[in-house]
Amino acid sequence: MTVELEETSLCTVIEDALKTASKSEALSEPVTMNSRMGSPREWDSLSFVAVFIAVSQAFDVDLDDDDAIHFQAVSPMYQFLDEILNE
Amino acid sequence: MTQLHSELSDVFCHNANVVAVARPRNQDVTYQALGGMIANVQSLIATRAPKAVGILGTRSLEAYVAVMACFFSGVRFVPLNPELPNERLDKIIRYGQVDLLLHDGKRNDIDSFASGFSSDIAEVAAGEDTSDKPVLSKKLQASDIAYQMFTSGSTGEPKGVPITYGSLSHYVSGIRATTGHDTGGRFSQLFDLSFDLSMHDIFVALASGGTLVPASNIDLMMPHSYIQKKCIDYWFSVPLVASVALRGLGDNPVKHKLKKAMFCGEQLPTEYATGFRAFVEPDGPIYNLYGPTEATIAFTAKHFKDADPDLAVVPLGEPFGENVIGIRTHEGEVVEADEGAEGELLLGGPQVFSGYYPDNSVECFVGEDPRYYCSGDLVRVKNGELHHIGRIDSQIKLRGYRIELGDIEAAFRKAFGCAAAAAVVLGTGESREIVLAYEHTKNIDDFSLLDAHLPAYMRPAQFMRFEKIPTNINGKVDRKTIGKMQWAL
Repeated sequence: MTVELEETSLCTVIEDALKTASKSEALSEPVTMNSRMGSPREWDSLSFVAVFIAVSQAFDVDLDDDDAIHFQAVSPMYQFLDEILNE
Repeated sequence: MTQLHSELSDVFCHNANVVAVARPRNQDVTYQALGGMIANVQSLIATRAPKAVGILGTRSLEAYVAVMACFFSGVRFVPLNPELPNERLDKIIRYGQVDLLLHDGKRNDIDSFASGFSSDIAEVAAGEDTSDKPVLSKKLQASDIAYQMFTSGSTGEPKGVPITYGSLSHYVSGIRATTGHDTGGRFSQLFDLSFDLSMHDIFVALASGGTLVPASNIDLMMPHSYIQKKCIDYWFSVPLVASVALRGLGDNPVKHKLKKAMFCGEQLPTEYATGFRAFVEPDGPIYNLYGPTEATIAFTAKHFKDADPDLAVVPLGEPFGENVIGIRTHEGEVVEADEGAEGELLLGGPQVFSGYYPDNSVECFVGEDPRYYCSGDLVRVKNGELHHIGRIDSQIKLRGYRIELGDIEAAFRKAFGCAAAAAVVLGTGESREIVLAYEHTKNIDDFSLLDAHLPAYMRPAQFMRFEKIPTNINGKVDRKTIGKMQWAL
């Protein structure tokens, strides 16, 4: 099911992807609009692709691998998704 | 002059118009252009006549130019990771007696650890070409030091591992003879320069007349895409990158396949090797390599064919070339690696270093003929192959990085002035994390002081204070009990 892009829904999708990738029930800190790779610490180079895929599926956007550059922090990710979903 | 010097000289002579380094956002660099840049940096080295050259760089054209310039100038080089805290860089520069620092990209803080003896590689390399190929500028012995890697040390001090031209040359010819002499093609370059596996990337690719394809930071996180978009033919990485690639690939087909894949740096889980087969041509081999920095990049190789359902990890295989092995049993006896033998793996032959420098006091050798390096790895010989069982000390490999837990503990004690600290590894596979127990009268809330002492990959994920650190009956830190505490991982 496609999720509507909002700040909270994006944070939730990322948080769920990180929990699954790190096989943990709780993250070291919650995902907020200020979060970026390394904070929470479960968001590392190994879980990066899990976040990329989860966001792509949740918001039903056809992402190109080159778009990955925008996926290292929540705020630029939100701006990028907002732009392409409203094109 | 070693065989490797000779082979590389031939490559530069006969492949002038072949691409040596691929650069997606810039013009690719041919062997002729690369040779010109190397010759220019060689001129600077000849003028400065340094004892050792520090190369502060990442996966970049400039770093490769500096490495090859030192190699052909016969000057020892010390690879330096730009992400290390300045305090640690300063220490390595002093221990390595670096008196010329070459760096890629602009560094605003360079004066804090290399004041007055640094040069930007790009600026030096861009000078008017003195030659279009590197030239061996002095007579070299195989026993001369080619490079010196600094690894994590149990005392908290970095340990210098000098590797000779002879060892490096044996490695490159040995690994190529064992896994196949490839000619041309595009070679992955995923390892940081300060990780000795990057020397495999650089020297094997160039000795093959191939093209080095440096991975960007995004490529490291999207390896499935890196393989296909950058048309990689020959792959070399730590096993964890294989799992990231598989996660990224999902159910999609692979449009460009590798001719060969090799893994090194930590245990290769069978499921990673089996899964990664999707990225490799049907008849393309997959190899598992093993070896510590002290024995020059890798020492044994295993051609992975079919997964053995009884094995969770791929065996280490056998030593290649003139490398020899022995086993030190649990009773302390040095024996040949015969079927059923079990104990510490001992490494001998032309790839083994001659001792740490400058700290040469560490006891790490046994025997005389052959003289064995004690690897610290526990192995068992089964069906004629080495199987890794574990480590005998507190050294671990985490995400490809070699880490002495004692190094973390020493840094913590120094930063916070506490009496005792114990680092422990929790979890398995990808979710392994380092946690640290410390003894202190009050809680420490801000651990950012550690940033000045430890690189990011060594920082514990969590901390726990104890009034008194748990000890066992012998008074030693009880790591098992610490590991069983309620850590939020």
